[in-house]
Amino acid sequence: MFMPRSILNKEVREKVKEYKKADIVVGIPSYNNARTIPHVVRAVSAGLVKYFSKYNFVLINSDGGSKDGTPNLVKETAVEDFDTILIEHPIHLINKIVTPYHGIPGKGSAFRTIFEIAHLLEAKACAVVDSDLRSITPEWMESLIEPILFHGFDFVAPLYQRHKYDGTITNSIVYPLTRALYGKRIRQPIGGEFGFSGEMLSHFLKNKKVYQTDVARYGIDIWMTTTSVAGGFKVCQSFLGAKIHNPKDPGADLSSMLSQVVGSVFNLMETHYDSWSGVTDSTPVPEFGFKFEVATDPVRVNLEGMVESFKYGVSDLVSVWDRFLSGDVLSELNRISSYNVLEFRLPAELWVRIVYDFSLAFHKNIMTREHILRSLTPLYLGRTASFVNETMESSPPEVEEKIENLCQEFEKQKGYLLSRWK
Amino acid sequence: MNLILSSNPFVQFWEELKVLGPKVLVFLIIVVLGFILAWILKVAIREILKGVRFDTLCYRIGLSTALARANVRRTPSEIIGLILYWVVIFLFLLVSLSTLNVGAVDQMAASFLVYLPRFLIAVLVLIFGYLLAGFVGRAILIALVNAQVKSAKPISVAVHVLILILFLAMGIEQLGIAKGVVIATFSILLGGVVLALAIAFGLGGKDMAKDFLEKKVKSTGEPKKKPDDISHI
Repeated sequence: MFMPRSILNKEVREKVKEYKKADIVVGIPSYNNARTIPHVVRAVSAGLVKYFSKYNFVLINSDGGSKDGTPNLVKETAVEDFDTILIEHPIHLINKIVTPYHGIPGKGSAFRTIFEIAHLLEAKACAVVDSDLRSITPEWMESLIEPILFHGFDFVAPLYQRHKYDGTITNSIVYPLTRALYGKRIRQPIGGEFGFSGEMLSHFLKNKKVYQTDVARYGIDIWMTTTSVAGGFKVCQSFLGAKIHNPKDPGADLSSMLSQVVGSVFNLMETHYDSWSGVTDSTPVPEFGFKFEVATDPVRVNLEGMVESFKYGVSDLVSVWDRFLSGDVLSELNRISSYNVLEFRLPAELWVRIVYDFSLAFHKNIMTREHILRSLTPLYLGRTASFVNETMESSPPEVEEKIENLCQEFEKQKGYLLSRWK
Repeated sequence: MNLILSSNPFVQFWEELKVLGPKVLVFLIIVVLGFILAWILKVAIREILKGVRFDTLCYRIGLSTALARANVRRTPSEIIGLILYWVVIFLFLLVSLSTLNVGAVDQMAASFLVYLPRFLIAVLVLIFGYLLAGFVGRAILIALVNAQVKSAKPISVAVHVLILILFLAMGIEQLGIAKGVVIATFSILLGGVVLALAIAFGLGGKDMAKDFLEKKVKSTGEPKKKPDDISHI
């Protein structure tokens, strides 16, 4: 009989045997995060000890072959002084499993290893947090795990205060598109920090083939969120405070990142057509946590570079786009490309039409899917430049209002997508 | 009288007809069979290709668009069915002609049967070259535009044309048409293009190379790009 080879090495399997079971598992994927990971490990450990001291917990680091000693730092890092955060401080040893992951290099493969270990440990609740975080506090553990353990939710998405120019792929494509498709207002569907139940965990491990796709890379976050929503699981979001993090893997270029995330969203549209085709509007999901205003780090933006990239695209990529963008969209793009940097605008209506046309081209295999996805980069940068111009003087609530308007435009034009899908 | 009759052209014609008649009949039967088999094969291959979504694949790799541009109204599966139809008819015609025992026809049939595989390989090489040129040209164009390279379009067109020329030369060589001339032309053309590019880069990029080296040597510390902290994800 064919036995699938385990992705976990002998050392990990022995650790699992030693720990037997864990109520809570927290996973931290990493790759060269020596600068930030000690803080993340300390915050997670303190959070677990502070809020879940009655439970068994295990911390897992799934590393992609860091050259800067990240795994050793995870092993060595400990909370030296619990006095500062706890009134009672019994001796707490944090059980840790530090392991390299196998498979396609990327966040998704790291998550898969965490899922496998958590599943073997029969975890009731699991949380994952990014290793590049600078603003994580012990309270994040409570926010991500409590809705699972005490309120019966299966999936907790994060809710943060972010700088208005942070997470632009989320704000301009992933959030509005996912919301319009599946009808759930999950504000940070690719946030990076999530909580989920043991049942959800088993569901994530059902289809192992997905870990051979872009889900193994940056597509993992949207895959988890969409899978939980489309699978009818109980979903909520939890306010975590400010999200301040180091830039993502500097080696990854924007085009690859965008193509992996958007490609995953488009692929999921194929898989879950039955789930989204009947949805006509969106509803909020339950929220946990106390919302408060926090200051975020300033973000420098190279507006000229983004507009220039858009103009290059319009001048050279028409031969690619004319296979799936209509004449009026192309002439509109041509008109916009004559604007100077400060007056540059790519209206929401046009942007939504472009995203839907790209998803249709992807669905109908009009050309190699990788080419469709990668040719979106200049248009995305154009939309980002337009967003920066539109919100230059805006306060956070005003920016949120802009994003809300974009979401409503996505919902309004969903009929266009549906009418051309089959 | 009998002698006169036996040398009569009508008798001779009749004698020849008696020999040739059955052969013509066999010829006609083979031709009719050929038409029937060709039609069956055409319909079968068309339906099989439709079943395996061959037209969708051709649409995806850009072949359908190329056909539409060339004003071809048929789908790729219909075209393949039609090609197969005429190839089968032609083969049956050759076989049926050989039943007539005409020396010239036999020789032509033999040469054609030897040449047919080479012809089919040449056609496949050309189709593959066309598709590869389109794929690589487009991939290079998108990558260069995303990297904000100013001459993205001319570079991608040059790569596209070079691949087309390479496969055209391979196809012609396969057909055995003026082998030496084709190879010589291709070598001269490719050599010329590379030389022209080298000269163009040398002359055009002189200042750029100078600036680059100056910056490297002097290391002024001035950032190349404007700062950008935007985190897209």
